[in-house]
Amino acid sequence: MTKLSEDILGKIKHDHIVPAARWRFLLKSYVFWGLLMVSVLLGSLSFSVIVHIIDFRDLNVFNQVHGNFFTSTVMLLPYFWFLSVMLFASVAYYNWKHTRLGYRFKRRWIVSGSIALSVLLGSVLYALGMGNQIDMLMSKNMPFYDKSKREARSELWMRPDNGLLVGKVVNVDPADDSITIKDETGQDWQIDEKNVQHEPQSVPKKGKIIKIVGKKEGDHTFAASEIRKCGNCQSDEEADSTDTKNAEKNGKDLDHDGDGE
Amino acid sequence: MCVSPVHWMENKNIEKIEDISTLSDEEIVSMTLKDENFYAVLIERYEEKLTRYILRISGGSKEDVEDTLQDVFISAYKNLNDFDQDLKFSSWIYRIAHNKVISHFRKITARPKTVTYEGDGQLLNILASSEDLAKELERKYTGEEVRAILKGLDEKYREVLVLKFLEDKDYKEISDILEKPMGTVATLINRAKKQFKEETLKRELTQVKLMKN
Repeated sequence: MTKLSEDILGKIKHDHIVPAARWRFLLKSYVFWGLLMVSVLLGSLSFSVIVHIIDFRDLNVFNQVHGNFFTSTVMLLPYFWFLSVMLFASVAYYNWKHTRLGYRFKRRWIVSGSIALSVLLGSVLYALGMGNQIDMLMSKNMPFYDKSKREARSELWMRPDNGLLVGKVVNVDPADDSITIKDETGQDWQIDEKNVQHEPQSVPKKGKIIKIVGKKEGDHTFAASEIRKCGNCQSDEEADSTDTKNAEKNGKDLDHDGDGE
Repeated sequence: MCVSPVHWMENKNIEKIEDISTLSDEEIVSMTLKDENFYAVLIERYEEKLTRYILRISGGSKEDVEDTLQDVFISAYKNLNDFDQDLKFSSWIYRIAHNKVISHFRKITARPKTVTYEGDGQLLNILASSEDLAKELERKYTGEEVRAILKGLDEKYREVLVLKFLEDKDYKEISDILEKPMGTVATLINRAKKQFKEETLKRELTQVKLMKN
């Protein structure tokens, strides 16, 4: 025995030093793996919301109003979710680095792998409707989020002079090929939809929020050439539906929109 | 039945001592977990290597190195259950030494650093292993001068050169010790060689200027 080994064994015995239990190391390892999976899942959910809220058909509308889609406030929320994906990718990277084999891969591979996984899994979650669910949950529970969403919608679509309009359908009149919508300011608009070829899923229904491309004809009248459904407006539509149900329950007069029903 | 190395030595059971010398580090780790006395075998196997390694990368005093070494062995013992059998034990304990050196010697910032490379024969391995550049250097520089050049390198470059050429570790082992991807290790070694070459060029230029004067 060398002096050092004697000293060390002596210290081990004297101080009653024992190897730390294996389960502690395993637990630490499982915690990092668990957090890694959670962060990838959260990144995936964030991505599913991005897919849900970006309506790329709005790009041509931006050309119409000579704006820049990617620097507008319309992109504020998608950027929020992009940041969220990046944040969770960073958390995933941190956790991966703390696993046993984490150091064997370069940072760019870990981060891009995590993002790729979020995109893949996020697309699946979007297809399962999770993007919509989370967007609605955020709208309901975070006022600033809901406010940003409304502002973005108004900024792009509340431009009647530019031929763009958005609002909630308050009345549908199939006989006259016209509908009535209420915009964000509470203003009612009579929409002439004679020239509209509807997408099957965007046939206006009462309570739905629609986006209209066309031409302003009077102070409260608008001739539509195209009507689009609003992909991420379900929270407002649902809020209205809930209000309606509550009102029905209380036996109140539902015809508060003045459409003469 | 497990018999500790201390008892073997006490009993002068040479045959069994020879047996233990044929066992791998990983097998002795398993035995140490059952009987702490077997740890002496691992300490003896790595005492000299780690002393040299710590000295080379830290440039600390003899006392500092001894303290660090003791800390390395105690820490390794405490974490013995965390030893990953996918790694070589040597990589694992070198990693602990590397981390301890970083935490110990980074604290002593005021102390001037003197990097020591004991054994000129080993130092010359750098020259022998680094192909054309090394051969060229061998013709032009003495061991003393090469030592001075290495001392002037960045810490991260010096350490990979020490591991590659003095400790004779391969890329995989260096990757496991420094906890960096193998590609990064290769890059570090290339950059270290480049910096080494730049330092030698600077020296050459200085010598030329001195000769002209």
